[in-house]
Amino acid sequence: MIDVRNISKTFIVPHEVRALVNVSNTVKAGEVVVVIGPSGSGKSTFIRCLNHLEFPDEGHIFIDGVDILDPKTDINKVRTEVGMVFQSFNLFPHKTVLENVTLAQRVVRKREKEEAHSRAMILLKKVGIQDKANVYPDQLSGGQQQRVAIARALAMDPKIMLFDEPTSALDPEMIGEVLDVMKTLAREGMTMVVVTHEMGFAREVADRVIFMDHGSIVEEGTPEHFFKNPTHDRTKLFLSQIL
Amino acid sequence: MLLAAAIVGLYYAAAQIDYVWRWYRIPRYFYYQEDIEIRSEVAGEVAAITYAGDGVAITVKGGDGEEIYTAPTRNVRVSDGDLIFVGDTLASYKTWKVGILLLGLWITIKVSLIAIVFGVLIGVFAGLARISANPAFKWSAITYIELIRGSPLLVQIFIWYFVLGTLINTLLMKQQIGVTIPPLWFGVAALAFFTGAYVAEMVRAGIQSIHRGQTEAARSLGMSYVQTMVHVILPQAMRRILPPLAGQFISLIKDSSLLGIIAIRELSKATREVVTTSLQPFELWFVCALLYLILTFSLSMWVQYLERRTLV
Repeated sequence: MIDVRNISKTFIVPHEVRALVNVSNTVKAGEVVVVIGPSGSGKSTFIRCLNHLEFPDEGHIFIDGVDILDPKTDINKVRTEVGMVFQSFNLFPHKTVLENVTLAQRVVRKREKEEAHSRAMILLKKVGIQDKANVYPDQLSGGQQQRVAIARALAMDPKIMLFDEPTSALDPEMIGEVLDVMKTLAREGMTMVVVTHEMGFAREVADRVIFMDHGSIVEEGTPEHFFKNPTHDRTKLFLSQIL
Repeated sequence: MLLAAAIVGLYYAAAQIDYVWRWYRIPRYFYYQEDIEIRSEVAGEVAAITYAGDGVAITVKGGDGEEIYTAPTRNVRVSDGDLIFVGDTLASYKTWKVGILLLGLWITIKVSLIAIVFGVLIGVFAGLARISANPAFKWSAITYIELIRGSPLLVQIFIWYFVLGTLINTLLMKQQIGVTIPPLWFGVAALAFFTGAYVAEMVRAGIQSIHRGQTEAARSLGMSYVQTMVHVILPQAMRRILPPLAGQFISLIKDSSLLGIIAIRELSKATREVVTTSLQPFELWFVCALLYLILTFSLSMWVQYLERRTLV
């Protein structure tokens, strides 16, 4: 489903940082991959490359067989298949919750108002926030906003969902509600790539854990292997620091 | 207090130079009654006068047929059987007419509104071009903005009217197209392009003030650059730049007073004309200023209302 081949990315501004160094990986359909690593390890850059918010300097990324780095590829079409949830929610503040979820359906998927509306209400119910459909995002708590953001991404009926530290900006008591929604999604067979610091989530939900450091994948494996018998010293150090 | 003192001082000073205030003469430049006389175009004899309601119909029988004149009045100047020569007044009535100041005010409003609409359009496009990654767009926008901001509006109006206006209208005439563009539109163009340059910089600042995450969220949903701009970024940016935009519109209304120099009879030009005929400069210029104040004040009230309404 996702096939990443030898991508590298160097940021020049504000100062030169090698964010990704020759990273390759394959994510199968229905797989839940959790990416962990210290800050600055390139995990956010990696996940942002997957829907072209960052452009790798080298390498290829195939999504469903389509080379998304090819200039001839219609990236907007690819993005409708790849939903993304951000650390800072990025809801549209000038639109109500319902409008946030219907906007792209109407504009991109060209759905009729009623259809977009009913799809939105189903998703808002799924994330447990249907009674807030007509309020503006700034009247919601962080956890509620993030759940709306998930519903907004799901409204495009994506095949893949990317989560870029979805709980890092949340108060501790709200992390659970967002993780619950993500667990439900994982159980339903959604292909997911999740950058997170929630080790509990990784252990419980992930099919595979990837540990990144200094722009490279240092180690990967099943949660059991990863948390019980990490092979790499860097992984051991990281785990000892956070667990 | 200060204002009251200034008014008293002004009246005292005016009294010292024997200025006679004639405020009662001012309303007629807004709205006045005009006498309309209905004159016969044929010579002959009044054959019949028929009253119907408030109106009247006068039939004049001439050598070569009859003419019927109607008037919405009972003020008939002739009676049955009178001899009539060409040009004789048959009846007269009064009608209300819009005065020159009100006409000037209307032209000012019209010019300003059209220029605001086009100015915003130009400004949005130039602002988008200004932050475009495409160097051709970017540098065209920068050149436009710098050219407009770097020269006086008065000079720009002259260029629009005397250079571009002459060129365009002469070419139109040469092409045997039966229309020429009236000066009003060159005035509007000058104001719109002038405003557009300032709006462009505001739009640029407004867009750049919107968090990058908004663009990323919209794009990650598969929206194109244009869709993202139209549905997500511009609505938020416009809301944010509303206050400076209102200031710009107020400047535009005031700057429209310069259009008098290219024979557009807007409020200032109208006032100047009335001053030369009535010799009441003190009253008239105060009235003129007051009218501008009403326009700009209502605009800023409206914008304040918009701001409150869109504050979510």
